[in-house]
Amino acid sequence: MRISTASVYQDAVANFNNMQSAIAQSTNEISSGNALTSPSVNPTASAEVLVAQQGSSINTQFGVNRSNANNSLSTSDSILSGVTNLMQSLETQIVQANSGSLNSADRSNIATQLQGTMNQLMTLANSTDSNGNYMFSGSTVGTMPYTATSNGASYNGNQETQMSQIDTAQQIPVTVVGSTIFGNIQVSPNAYFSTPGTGNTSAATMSNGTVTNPALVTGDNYQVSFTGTPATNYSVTDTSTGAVVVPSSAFASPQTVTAGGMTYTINGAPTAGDQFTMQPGNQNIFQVLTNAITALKSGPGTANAAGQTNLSNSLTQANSSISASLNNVLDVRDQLGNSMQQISSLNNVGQTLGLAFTTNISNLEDTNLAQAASQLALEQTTYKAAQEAFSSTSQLSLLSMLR
Amino acid sequence: MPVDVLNIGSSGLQAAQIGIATTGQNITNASTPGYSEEVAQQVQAPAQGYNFGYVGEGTQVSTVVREYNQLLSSQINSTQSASSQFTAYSNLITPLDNLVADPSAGLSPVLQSFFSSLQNLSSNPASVASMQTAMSSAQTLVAQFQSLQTQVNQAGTTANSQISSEVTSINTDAQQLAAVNQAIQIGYAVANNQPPNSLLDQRDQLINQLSQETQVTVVPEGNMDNIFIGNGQPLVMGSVANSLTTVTSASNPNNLEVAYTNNGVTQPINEADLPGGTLGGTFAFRTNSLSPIQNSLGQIAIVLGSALNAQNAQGQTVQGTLGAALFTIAAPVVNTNTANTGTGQLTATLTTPGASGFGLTTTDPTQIASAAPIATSIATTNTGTGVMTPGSVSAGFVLADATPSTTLTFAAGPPATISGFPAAAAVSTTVNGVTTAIAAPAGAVPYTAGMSISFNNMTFSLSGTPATGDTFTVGANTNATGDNRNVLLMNALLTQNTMNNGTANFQGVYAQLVNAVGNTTSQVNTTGATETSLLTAATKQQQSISGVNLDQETVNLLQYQQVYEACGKLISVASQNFSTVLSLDGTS
Repeated sequence: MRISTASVYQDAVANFNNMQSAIAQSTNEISSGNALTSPSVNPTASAEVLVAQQGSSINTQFGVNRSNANNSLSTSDSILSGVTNLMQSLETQIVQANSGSLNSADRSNIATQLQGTMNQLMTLANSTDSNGNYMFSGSTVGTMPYTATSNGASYNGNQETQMSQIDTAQQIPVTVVGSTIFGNIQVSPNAYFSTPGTGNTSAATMSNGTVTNPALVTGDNYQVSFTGTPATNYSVTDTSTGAVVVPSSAFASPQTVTAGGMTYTINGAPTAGDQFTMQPGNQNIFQVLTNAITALKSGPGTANAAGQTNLSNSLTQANSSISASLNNVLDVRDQLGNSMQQISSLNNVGQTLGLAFTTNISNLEDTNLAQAASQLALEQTTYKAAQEAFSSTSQLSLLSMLR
Repeated sequence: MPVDVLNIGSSGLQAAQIGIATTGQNITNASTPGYSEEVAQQVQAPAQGYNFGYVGEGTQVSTVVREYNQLLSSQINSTQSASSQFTAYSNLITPLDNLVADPSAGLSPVLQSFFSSLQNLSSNPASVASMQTAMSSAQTLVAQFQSLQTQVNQAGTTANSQISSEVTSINTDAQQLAAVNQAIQIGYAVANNQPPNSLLDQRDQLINQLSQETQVTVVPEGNMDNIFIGNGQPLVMGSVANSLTTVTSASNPNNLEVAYTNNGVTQPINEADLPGGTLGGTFAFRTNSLSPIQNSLGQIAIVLGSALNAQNAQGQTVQGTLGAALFTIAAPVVNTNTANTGTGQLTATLTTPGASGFGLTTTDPTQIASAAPIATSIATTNTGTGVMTPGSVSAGFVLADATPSTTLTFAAGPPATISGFPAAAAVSTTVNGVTTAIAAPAGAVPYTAGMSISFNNMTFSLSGTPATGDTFTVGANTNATGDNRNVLLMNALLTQNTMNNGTANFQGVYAQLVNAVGNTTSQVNTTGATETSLLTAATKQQQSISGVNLDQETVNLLQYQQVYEACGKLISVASQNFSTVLSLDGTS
């Protein structure tokens, strides 16, 4: 084919341009270490890298979330370990107090000890985290969870646990609500407590109540009192409202007492002035301890056998309530432990996943150095060869021969 | 026998001179763009007949023509058109190609860091520092969206100005072509119908230049070429040039269109009727790449903004108020086609481009509603095992729905019921997937463990075995600065498939956009390279006919030089012959 002289030069220029831009592209890939210098180089890989990067960044974030969750869980757990110790010492103190050989001074000492332990427990219940937020008041972190009342203490927080997203599809609670730890003491489901008055002089007993007419259940506290020694009449007052719900009625042991939809049975021979308190069967530890302290302080009254029995009954009930509460605490610590275990195993999964993402991203976007370097070497060789070829062919002019 | 040897020699000298001049012209224009090699065509002069035979009368140059092939020229023009189209497309899309996946400029990193900051806020909902970080990340996100949109819009502005300048070039070329047509007509006339080669080259060069701008069809008519552009739009008819102009698109005020003025009436030309060349490439970029990119970005901005706004509105801020909209979303714009003749009006709720109107309504970090607006609780005196879920609210919830709080009381029955619903509230319960609506007042509602209960836009579930008299309360979530339920729901939006009819999340749509831009760029570059090599091949072919080869010219030069010398010798011989005859009288 006939070749025009101008096109020889134009071709050379176009080829040199192409080779130089290929060399520049290879150099860029090698020096940046990134094969995807722009999406057009490999559109599919570019999109996949974005998706993988998001996956990787979410995975990393879940790792951060897990570490935050673990901090919060282990802080709670270490406080609850203190609570466990205190409750175990409470059990010992109550057992000591229930020994019949104690005099009133001993009982008063133990009451003081119990009061001290209860205060410590209250301090733990009102613990704050490093940010000054209350740890056991649900999501109302600015509200002190327990404040002392004449009956013990009342819970002021709410019942929301804070959740943490520790994995794509998994949220775990990272806080524990105070009322779950320190409250919710039920001797048996659906039961209502009956407590003999601390000044009772007889050995009469009253069974725990059962609901017999749900429509009438109020949740109020009630009190039974007697007239006559031995008792000939009893009456029931709703102490929450002050209303007399059972007016003075004839008493005969065993006497069935019905108030607020609940039915109790009184056995024995109560004397005038004896009282039984009926409370909803769900209390917090501070109410239990306050009841126990009050019982200890007032003692068996006139040191008769009935008073001793009543005191002993009260302390036994306190003891079983403390055990129930301790069980609640241990349950919560179990949950915390489980959560921490879950976090630890998810951490392993997260690490493996993170490695997989890194490898995937690296496969997609990293320069294959060996390949790129040999490509560059090839391009350089071709370029040099092209230069040399041009420099020799451009000499081929008839005119230079005619001189 | 009057054989005129001198004349024969003289005709040879003249022909050789013309040959040398033509060769000289070729040599000097060897690298002139658009130049076609010229050849002086030599023919024998008519021979003189004698009774002994015909004797040649020398030579003559019949014409000087270009080495030219019409087919190859038009092939160059059409490949030139295609190649220019892809070059223009590539030049416009390459900046966007580099932009969208750039870690410092793309959307991906800021999207991730925004959601990371929300995750950290969920770990520490009461911390003002965490809220501040989340708000700063939101600002960065918005700024990045706006910057991306600005750069994309910049490409639209570039496209518009490219269209204007192309139209100007086309008009200039058209006028020159009309003038050259006219000059060629005259050129043929004044030179005994000989071709005015340099004018013909100039016309071909102008047509080639026009082909870079748009697709050209040439229809020769006599010595003049009629030029049509696109799908048959007449541009040059003989010596008359029509002119194009740009007008604002009737359907989209952001776009310029090409229009044709005829008898004072300006008529827009459909984009699809102007393929090829830089103009066609610009149109293709605008329609196939720019609009989808703008739409995609706008779509992400709108869905992201409205999803977060909706979720924030269902949450409660640390101040105890319901969350307000965090993001402003582009106000809807309805473009009425200016060519519409009816009076119909369209209203719209959303439109694109959305990302440019994407902003923050506030920079107050406490406006991020981390908490859920309601809280549920079971009475601490409950003796049963009834459990109540934390509860959630649905769109339309207002704080008054939860105030005053509602306390539901359980009765074991049978039948087991819960009662205490607000008298004015319609209640709906869902048991094992079966929803029952109960009109207000609801009274005592049958209880089944695991049932879900909704009223006043609030939903919660009850399970377990409550005891008679147990109470369950749902109400406002007061002082709950440690509540992170709503921010957890915001977090979930990142990976939720909220886009493209619930098939993709934000990152997925953005990845699709990056993929589409990358694919288009790659495709345009590849096709462009193919078109360029086709153009190179066509040019080589055309150059093999019309190009100048200096070696060939050198040989020609030597040949003409030798002919010239030989003719000189011929004249000298003739002259010597004449002298010989004159010396025969013996006087010398």
